[in-house]
Amino acid sequence: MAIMITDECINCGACEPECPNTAIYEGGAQWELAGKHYGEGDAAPSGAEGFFSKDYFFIVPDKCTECVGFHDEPQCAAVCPVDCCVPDPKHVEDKDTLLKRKEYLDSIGR
Amino acid sequence: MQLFTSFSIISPDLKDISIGINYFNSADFFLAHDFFEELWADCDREDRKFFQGLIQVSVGCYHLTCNNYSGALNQLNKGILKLNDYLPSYYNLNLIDFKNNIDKLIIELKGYFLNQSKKIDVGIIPTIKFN
Repeated sequence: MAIMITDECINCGACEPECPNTAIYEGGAQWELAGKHYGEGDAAPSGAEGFFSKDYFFIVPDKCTECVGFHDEPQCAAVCPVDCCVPDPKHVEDKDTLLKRKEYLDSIGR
Repeated sequence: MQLFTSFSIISPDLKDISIGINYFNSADFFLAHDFFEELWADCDREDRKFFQGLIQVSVGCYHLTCNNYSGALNQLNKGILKLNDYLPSYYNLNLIDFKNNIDKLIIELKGYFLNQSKKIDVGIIPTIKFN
């Protein structure tokens, strides 16, 4: 399951530097995967949509491994003072899938 | 002659907290959250939920002033739940009075979602008082 950021976000930016996958972006920012840039209205390569936010930090599900392969727990959730980094019910995945994604991201670049 | 006074970074004193309380009571909720976040990052384990509660209530009030009512309701609920563990008073703050007033605010917000009737008057956001 990828992590998502809810509208409770205060835009403090504490989560962004903690993400080992650089999956977290400031509201409205272009995001990058394998050297390609994406923005508002773009679906992720997996087809995932609806994660982009103009107002709050957001997490790209194709880049989120819930820190599997790096840490014991999602680092964004660990440092968020308002507890707004939560599991995304629209992107439920098991540990094997997340680990494969980590390896895939290792190979293509984040 | 004493040249300087040392302050504990780990356990904030009342003077430290009063800065954040003043921000809150002046409706500078973003600054208040920022200030409490600094304390939260370095405080003792027993104080962590207390400062996170203050952060979340401050953020809830900030969202309220920005008309983000769902964000406000969630943060106020989370924050007051944490502060419940420190009733009736902590760091000389009157948390009973504050909790009761935040509970009224939560009821107003819930009423908004039930009726979609009117905007919330931010004037009902309470202040935090010392004992």
